[in-house]
Amino acid sequence: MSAQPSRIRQLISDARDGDAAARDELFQCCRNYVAVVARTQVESWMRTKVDASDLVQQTLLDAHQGFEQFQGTEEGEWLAWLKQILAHNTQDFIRRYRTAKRAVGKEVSGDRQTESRAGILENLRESIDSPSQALMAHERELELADAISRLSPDHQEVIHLRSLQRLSFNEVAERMGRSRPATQMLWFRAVEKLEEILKENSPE
Amino acid sequence: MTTPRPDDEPTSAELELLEWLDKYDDALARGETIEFPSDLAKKFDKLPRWVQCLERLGSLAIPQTIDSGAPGSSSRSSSSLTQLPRDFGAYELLEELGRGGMGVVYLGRHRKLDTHFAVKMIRTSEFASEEEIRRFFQEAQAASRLKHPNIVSVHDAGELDGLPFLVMQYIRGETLSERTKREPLDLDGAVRILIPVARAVDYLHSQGIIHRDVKPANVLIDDDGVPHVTDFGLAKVFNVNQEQTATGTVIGTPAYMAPEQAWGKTNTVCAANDIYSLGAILYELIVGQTPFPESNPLDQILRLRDSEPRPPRRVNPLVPIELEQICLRCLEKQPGLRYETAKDLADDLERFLHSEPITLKPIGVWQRIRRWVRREPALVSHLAGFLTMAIIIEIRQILASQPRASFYPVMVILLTWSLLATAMQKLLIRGKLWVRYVWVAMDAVLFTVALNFAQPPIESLLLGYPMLIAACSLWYEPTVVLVMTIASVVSYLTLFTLRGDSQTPVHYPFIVTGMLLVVGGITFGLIRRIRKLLDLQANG
Repeated sequence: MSAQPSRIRQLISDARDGDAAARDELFQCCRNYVAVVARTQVESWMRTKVDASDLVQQTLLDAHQGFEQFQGTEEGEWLAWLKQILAHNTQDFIRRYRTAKRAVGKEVSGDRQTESRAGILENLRESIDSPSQALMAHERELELADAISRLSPDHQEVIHLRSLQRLSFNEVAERMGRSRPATQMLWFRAVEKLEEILKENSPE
Repeated sequence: MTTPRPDDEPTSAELELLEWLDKYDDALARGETIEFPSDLAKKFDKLPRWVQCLERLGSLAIPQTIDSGAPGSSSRSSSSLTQLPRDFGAYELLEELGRGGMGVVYLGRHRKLDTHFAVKMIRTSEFASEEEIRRFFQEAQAASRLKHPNIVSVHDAGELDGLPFLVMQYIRGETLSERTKREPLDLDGAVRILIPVARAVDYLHSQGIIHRDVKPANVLIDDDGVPHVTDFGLAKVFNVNQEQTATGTVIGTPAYMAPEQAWGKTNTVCAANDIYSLGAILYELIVGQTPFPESNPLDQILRLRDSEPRPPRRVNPLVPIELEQICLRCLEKQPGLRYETAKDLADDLERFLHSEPITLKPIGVWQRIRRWVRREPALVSHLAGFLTMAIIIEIRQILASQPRASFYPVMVILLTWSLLATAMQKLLIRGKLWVRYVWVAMDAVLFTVALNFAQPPIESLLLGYPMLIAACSLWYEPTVVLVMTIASVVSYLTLFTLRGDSQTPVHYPFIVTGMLLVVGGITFGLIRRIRKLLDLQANG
């Protein structure tokens, strides 16, 4: 096990005690994770390449503002909490993305956005009381997301499409404009690389 | 060991590894694990670490199956979009019924009416333009006017949160493809299912709608065994049927698609496309496999255009001749030769069921020959060649003042050759692909034997070797060309040793051998290039 989970626990505890630097670091640690999950969620729903950076931004912002409502102490709980905020925001993001694409030029009503924002935090309060066991299972996801974001752009893309969004190799090949064998090879190289990065990062 | 090389061509061991990793990954997505062969683990000592890496990636991946459990189950963490049950306008979505190219179908309950419906949510990113939205609702409108006992009716359409959806009659049961996978239908059962399907398609045609995507997965069979056709016309809006990329290539498995459709001739979309698809379903139901069962989409498309399916009776001798006729008539390459309407097809199927004579006239001799040529091109070209040769030799024999010694041996060789070629074709049709190597080698040898009996000087007839090499390239298989080249060179050298002309300069055989190798090499290279290009097209 890497030392990271205990580090996150420390950061959460420090941030809760009002250490602003710890809080910033905590969010910085999770940015890659939120980005990877956001992209997976949005793209597998939309089935196309989508720039989800707004969604990441919004989610981190919501988490920052609602930090007091987070009750957990462990990394697993923390990530689950982020995922929940992300899930709520994803729905909103996709709706806005579609309507925006449809009615180019028409501004999306700001009222509706603030209304749904308030709703999210309201909803979160309810769900946070019952941290589910299943949500805490994957404690090393943070490390993995960091490793993925250190891959080259092509390797990131193929890991995202094939391993995270679970598209077939034919679909991945088409999306990336390569032949199927080349895509399979690229995927394998990406897994190799990913494994190296993970090994480097976790001293045994 | 596996450091990336500049050209990054996978070695055969790596290919095997890739295949296993892929299998493992798929199993992982289903929540299973598989064992790797032990020699693979020996070759790649990092294998356990890669597998571990894949497992970790799996925990971040989108869940493959949608958990339809109560709220609070693990699906909740992945995405609230997949959470069920959930509210959807006037409906409550209860569970996922299936997903296809265009979207996800949910079982929905109308809250006020307390009735169950199938709610189809369109989930495609292409679906963004005003034009497509307009066409979607236009198709939905046309569909909602339809009323037929074997057609899934459309009740409502709308848009919620930017997602267009369609509310359809909920058919409790299974699709025809699930049904046949569970247990094959008997011949009568197959015909009984297909008659109402054909009538439903005919009804669609009478309303000016072409289905474009008739396939077993789009035929729902309810608990009483009554088939219902679904998803009509939508293929046009979403273009799922063709699944074309910008370059016009076809992706996916065009198993039930008419050849003209598979080649992207969208301007020829008409009732005949659907009739072909009905024929393909009939073929699969009575034979047990699709007309072109090639696993590779590239070969499937090539065969779909250039060759004929094996006649059903050759695969399943129990199929009556009338049923075979009906089936093959639907699968004609030219749309004009198929049944004119789906009703005619349904009527003939009904007549067949009642053991009445079908209306279909047997196809003409000319059409029969064309089918044969497309089905067994190698044999036909061989026989045509032999016939031409035999005629020439025969004429020469008649014109000659005295019988020539070479006449009978050559004729016997041609006859033997014909018989062997027919046998080869029979083996080839059984799927024995190695036959091609034997066949080309045999061609080279028998040609040489024939030359051996020919009147000298035979030098001009040596042109037959490059001809053989060029002809065998029509298999589109580089190794076949290779075998043919080697066989030709060996045969030629043997022939020269046996009956070389003493006047031939000593170095000529070397030149001829060199030329044969060059012809073979060029042909080999061309075929490889063509295959690569086609492969690139077929796989995007």
